[in-house]
Amino acid sequence: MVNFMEAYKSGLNSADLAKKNKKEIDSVFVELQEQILQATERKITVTRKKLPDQDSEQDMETFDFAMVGRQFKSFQELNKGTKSHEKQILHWAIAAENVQANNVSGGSRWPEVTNEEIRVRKLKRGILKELARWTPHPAGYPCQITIGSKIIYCEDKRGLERALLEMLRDPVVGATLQELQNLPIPEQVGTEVSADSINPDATDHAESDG
Amino acid sequence: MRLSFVWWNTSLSPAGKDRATDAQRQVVCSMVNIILNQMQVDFLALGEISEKDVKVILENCQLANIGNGFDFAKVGRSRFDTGFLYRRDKLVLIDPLRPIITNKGNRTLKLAQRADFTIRGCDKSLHVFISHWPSLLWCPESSADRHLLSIKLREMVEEVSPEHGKIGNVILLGDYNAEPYNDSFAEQLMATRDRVLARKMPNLLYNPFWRHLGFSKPYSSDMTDEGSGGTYFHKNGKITRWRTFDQIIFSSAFLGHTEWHLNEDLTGILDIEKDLKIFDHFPVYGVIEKVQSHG
Repeated sequence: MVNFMEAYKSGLNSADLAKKNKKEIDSVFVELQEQILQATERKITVTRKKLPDQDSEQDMETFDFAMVGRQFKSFQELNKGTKSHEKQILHWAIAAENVQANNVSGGSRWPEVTNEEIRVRKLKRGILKELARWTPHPAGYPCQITIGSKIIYCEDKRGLERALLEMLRDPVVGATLQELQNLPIPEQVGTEVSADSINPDATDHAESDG
Repeated sequence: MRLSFVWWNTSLSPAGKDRATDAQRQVVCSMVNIILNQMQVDFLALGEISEKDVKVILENCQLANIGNGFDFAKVGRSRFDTGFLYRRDKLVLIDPLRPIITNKGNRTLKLAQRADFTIRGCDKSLHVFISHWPSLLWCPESSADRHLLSIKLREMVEEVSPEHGKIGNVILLGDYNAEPYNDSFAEQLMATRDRVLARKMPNLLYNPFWRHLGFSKPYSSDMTDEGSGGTYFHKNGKITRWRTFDQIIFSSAFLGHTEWHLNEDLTGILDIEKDLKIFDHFPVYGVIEKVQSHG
């Protein structure tokens, strides 16, 4: 007889292990975030974010974001006739942001503006930049980091930490971080880090396995 | 239409570290010229080469209409030491060469470099994985890493395949430092010697190098030239000095699932005159061809 009960139990154990692995992966990124903030006097954050693919990013150029600020109440109408944001193709990335150069307000003030739209705006302004691609795994490990053309599978916590070290040591990533660090800081903006910058993945995690 | 593939571990610069003399590099240049210009091979992957070796090859070989893909990406204290030359009028490289690594604990393993092509004139995609895996000295047959290498390579092959359980047009080649029969290799990679089974089960890979485990000619009393007994000559071997570490493996797609077929007659070891003290690996070759259906 087929042992479905055994498979059912095994599935529950796998789910528990996946949860544990994802928590462990989160802890690595929290540590990365902490250390980068410390090293940059709380200027730069490095987190996992869903970003639009290059093609759909170009589509977004048809959208006038400046108008969102002025006319956020009529956002839905304004959005009509432009390319649909829902159709954007997103990918997971490890992204860095200069949070002190950021005066793009978050969704809490304008609930109609989604985190994704804010990220596109930040990307266009050059205050948010992709450092590497991130490919999560349903079981947590092996997760995958793609630096340039190089694909690194991370089989465990130490493997992930080493891949992130390699990412930070990469000359292209280094140059990107340098560019972000040298951005001018707008005067009116305080040092408060927006919710999107600190923990953008909290909601993303709920919907997928990033 | 035919497409021919050659893999050769040149022994010039293991792990990409320069150690070759100019004379040795010139021997490799002559071989590259023979393989690409006389034999008219369409894809030549080279192993144990460095950036400097490639510079010499590109400067000294006749490479009209030949493209290349080299990325000596650093991996911990080592680096990738493989790359390829290809005929532009037969193949279109659609993505840059992708070095693929797996990190487990403090160990880093170089899995493969992936090159994605379309075959010119028939718009067919082709994925080639070039590997140079660690020697038995650093990674013994019983090592878990050897299983991990094969498991991960298998995963990558599945990743580029369009359907679950059906492997796409994939060719794996390289120096695996494993014999076709090693369990860590054959079982984990699902690379079989049984081509009838491979035809029935499109998730299997077929390894024609099972038939190159010994001397190609049977023994006879009047034999003058023994030829090679494998692809790698190991002069201190106690029981055998020959190993078949260099292989070209084909997905089941080339065994009758499409109009492109493996031509097994044209698959084997290039028996070249060489100094086995320096060049201890023989090139291996394989051919696929488009067969018109008569149905």
